[in-house]
Amino acid sequence: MSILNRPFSIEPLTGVMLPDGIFDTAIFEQQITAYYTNNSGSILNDVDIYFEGVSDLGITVSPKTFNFPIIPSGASVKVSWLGNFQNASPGKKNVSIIAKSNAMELKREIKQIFVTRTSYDSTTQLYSCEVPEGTLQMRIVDVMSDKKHCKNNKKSPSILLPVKLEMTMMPNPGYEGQFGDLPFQDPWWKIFAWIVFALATIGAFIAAYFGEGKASVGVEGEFDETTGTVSCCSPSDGLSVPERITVAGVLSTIASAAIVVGCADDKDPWRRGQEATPVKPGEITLSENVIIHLTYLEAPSAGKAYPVEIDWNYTRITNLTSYQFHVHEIRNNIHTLKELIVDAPVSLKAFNDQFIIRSQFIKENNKAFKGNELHVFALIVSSTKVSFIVPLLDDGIQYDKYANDGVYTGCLEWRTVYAKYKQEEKDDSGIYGYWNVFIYAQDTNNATTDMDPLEAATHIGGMMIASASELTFDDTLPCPLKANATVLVTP
Amino acid sequence: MATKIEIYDGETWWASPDIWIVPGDDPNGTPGQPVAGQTNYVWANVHNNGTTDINGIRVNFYWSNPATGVLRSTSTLIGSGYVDLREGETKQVLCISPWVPIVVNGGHECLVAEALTNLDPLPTPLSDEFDPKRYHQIAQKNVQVISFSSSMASMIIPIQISATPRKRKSVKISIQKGKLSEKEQIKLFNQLGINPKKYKEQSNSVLFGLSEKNFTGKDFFGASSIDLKIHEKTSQSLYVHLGQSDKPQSGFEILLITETIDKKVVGGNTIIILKD
Repeated sequence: MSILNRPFSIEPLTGVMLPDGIFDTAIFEQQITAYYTNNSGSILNDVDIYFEGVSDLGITVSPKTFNFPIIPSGASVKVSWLGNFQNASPGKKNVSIIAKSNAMELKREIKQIFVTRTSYDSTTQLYSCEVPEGTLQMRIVDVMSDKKHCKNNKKSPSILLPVKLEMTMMPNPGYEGQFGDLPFQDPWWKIFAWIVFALATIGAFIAAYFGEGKASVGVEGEFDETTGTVSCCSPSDGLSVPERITVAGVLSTIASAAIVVGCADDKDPWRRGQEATPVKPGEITLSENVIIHLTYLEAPSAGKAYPVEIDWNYTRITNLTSYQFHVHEIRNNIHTLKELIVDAPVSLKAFNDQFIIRSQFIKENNKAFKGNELHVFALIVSSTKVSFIVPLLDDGIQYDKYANDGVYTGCLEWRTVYAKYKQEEKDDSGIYGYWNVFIYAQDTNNATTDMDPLEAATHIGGMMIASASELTFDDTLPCPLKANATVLVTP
Repeated sequence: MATKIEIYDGETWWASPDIWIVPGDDPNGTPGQPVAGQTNYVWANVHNNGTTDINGIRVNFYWSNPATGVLRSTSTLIGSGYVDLREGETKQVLCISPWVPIVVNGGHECLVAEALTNLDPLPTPLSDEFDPKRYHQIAQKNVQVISFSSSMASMIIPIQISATPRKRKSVKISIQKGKLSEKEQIKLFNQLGINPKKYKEQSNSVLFGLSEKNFTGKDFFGASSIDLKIHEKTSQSLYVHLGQSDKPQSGFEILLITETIDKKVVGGNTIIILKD
């Protein structure tokens, strides 16, 4: 068994993967999540998977053992452990994860995770995202926000769309030559802009959810200038706060990922700026500033090739002089989906029939995403607005028929439904009626450890490729939100 | 259901064969001696000798300055690992946090591993002494390898004696020749990256003694034992003096340094002297 890709961070309150799966100390609790793949060539029985350790004393992980009675050949099972990153130091960290079965020698997988440290200085209104290779400072100059939405309900999260950002990358140390190190020898610097912007919004509503006195996040910010409003079409009305937070997490990921779209996956403004501004021998680059201005030709949408008009200015400051480079262009989202297929029962009998949801995610080349390529979950909402988060997996286990066939399957257990109705003191009769199913999916970073850093940088994970929740610029128009499936639950 | 989680002591209890080092950047590499200033990984064997499966056993790894009795208050946590053990099972546990020994000790430090689980707990509160002889969940590896070639006339090796924060102690520190069974010797040598076939055990190839003085003098090897009074919260250095005997054969010799309080051995340090 082996872990093929870098383990990634899931924010536990929203269930959403953080940008590119990178961990940040500003969100104290995060799920260390990995896909463990059975590449033994045969079925494995009675497999235990547990977390052995992490190479940072500042990270504490809650131990937990996952037992899989069976793992089909080729299947990737998803495992995750809750970690506290508040006292972590930024850098690459090794994690050791053990798989063991009676028929298999103990397998120890040592993989690297990436940890950044983001903070906010309210005096200067600057965010800083620190990694060993340098620090990215960001000032959020202008955003579009859903001010109306959040005004009346403090616990209802605010969605922000980036418009103008001023960023300075300070390499550590200053470097000689045309090109500096990539952070972690992997992602582009633009990923850290995404991290900062996403944390600024997600952090704010996590803090609001937990309330004062319960330390949960280390970064919150303020935004004075807004040049427009954005609204959300989401199944949030009537939902309990945790599910609204999930939807907000999804929307914030979509909104903040516009930075990734505008700054392009093949080469980001820092790399293109470096290419366009060669330096003299012995000249030391001290900082690189990028100011971006995003104009939305249409609302960002998960899985769609929406265009973003971007204007950016790059300035390289050296020990001798400064150089500038300017670009104005239109970029399209390339993390797209051709088709989402959802298979759910038209009707079923409560406490009798299995509430199974199946989904397929078809790429532009007509091939389906499969196995460990996606992080997928469904939000299932009853007729009386009680909601449930159900993970969907393509591991060939339990409700999923075959591993890696591109069908992601999950089941809402009736005992879970019953327990939540009791917990929320709702009348059981509310179980009957029409239930809505909303599907959400993010891609995972499939860069491998043997890749050249410049190639690995072009592989980005955590982009929403499917979302039942959408952003819109005109809240006077009918909301285009549609459930991915509707199920009639009968007595 | 009986529960018993163990990390075994050695034949001399402070030289546990259940703790070992892998020097270098690859924790799955070959065991060997720690390299000062560079990355090393620490491993431990943990055994479930009870009659029930136990999950989530936490194994803490510590380093301490070369000493006889090792204290929590003078030790540093390297990192932790978790292990699940079924009844009767033994597993190797890796401390994935790398250990970089400080150069000042030439890379030698004392290592301690302890296994923590609610199902076989250590007493609360924990005493400052690790006391591996008393607790089956704790083991110590206090073994130092010294290359003492015949071209060297003498050598001094520092060790540290510490008192707990709240209690002064009167101790006797002694040095004597030691011996290992062939099985333990082979295991220990392999863990230290020493070819057991290359070295044969010798007797009287080195002269040795203890002193509070860190200088060498002609024919000065100190004493075979020293009585010390250590005040609470303080440490004192002692020095092992080595010299060549008139029979400088190649091979190895083992010296044992013991700390005794009221005739009870409370700590120790094993020195393997290699002579080429």
